[in-house]
Amino acid sequence: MNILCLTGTNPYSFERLVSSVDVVLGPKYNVSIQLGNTNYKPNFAKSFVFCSRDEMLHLIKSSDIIITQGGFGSISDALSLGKKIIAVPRLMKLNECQDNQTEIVNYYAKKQYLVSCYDVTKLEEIILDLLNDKIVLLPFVPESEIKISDIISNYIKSFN
Amino acid sequence: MSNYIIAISSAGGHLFELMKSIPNNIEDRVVYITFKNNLTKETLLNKKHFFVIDPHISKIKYLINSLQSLFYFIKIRPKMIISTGAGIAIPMILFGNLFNSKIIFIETGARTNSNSKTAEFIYKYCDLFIVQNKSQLNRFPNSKLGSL
Repeated sequence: MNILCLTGTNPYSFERLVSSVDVVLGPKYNVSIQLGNTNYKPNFAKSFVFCSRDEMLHLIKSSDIIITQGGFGSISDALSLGKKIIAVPRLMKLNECQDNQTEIVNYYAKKQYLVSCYDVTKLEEIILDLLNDKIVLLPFVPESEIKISDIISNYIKSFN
Repeated sequence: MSNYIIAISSAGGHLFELMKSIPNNIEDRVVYITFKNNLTKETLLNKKHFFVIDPHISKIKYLINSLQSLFYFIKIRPKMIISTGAGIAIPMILFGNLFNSKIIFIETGARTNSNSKTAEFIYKYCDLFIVQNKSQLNRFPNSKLGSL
């Protein structure tokens, strides 16, 4: 099973997530970790710092489970490719970010688009529950049928 | 005033949202402005772009960002400024408001129960304000709801 762990482009380190994914999941599964600005060198999992967007989409496509920080970009990419997502929000009190990541993670978790995880020691348990369909996720449904790009396009037309 | 449009945001998720919001038919008139790192350099390789510094929470960096923004504003004289935030875009939006560029702001989809500080601050300067979650519609009464 392929697991991909994402920490995005956030300038803060996210060692809590990366070390747990490496130590607990690294020896058992085929794990790749995108480290970003995290100061931890994995011992078991494969890792890289950043990659291009095309490479990222390709990696997500070829993974079975995505374990990601609570960043909107990473989550949106994984959702749009219909992947099973476990989102671990960075926490301000642990100096893992400057922006609130819990809001979007809780919101999407409530809608069952992803599983939220605040305790990284539970990651493997959640993965097994996902594989056994003990946790069921629903396909992502956009909040509006109108595309932002169309709203902008119409706005521009309105005064041309 | 030129026919150009400035699209400005910080890197990462904000830039992802911004690029997905730009309609294809205006792409050739868009100049992207964000901050510089290896990823943004690669992402914007084939698009017109400039870099300014990320003010983050530093007042001195806001001052430098403002000077850079003013420089590019005068250079480009945009008809319109489109942004997804964050703080990096505030000086450019204020210059745009002062010199009659149309301002479009898209509040990040990462916000569901609260408003971003940038959105609260620049809401009154916007000609078009777009949100991505229904829960944001009452907090920004003149906004439109859209998806990426």
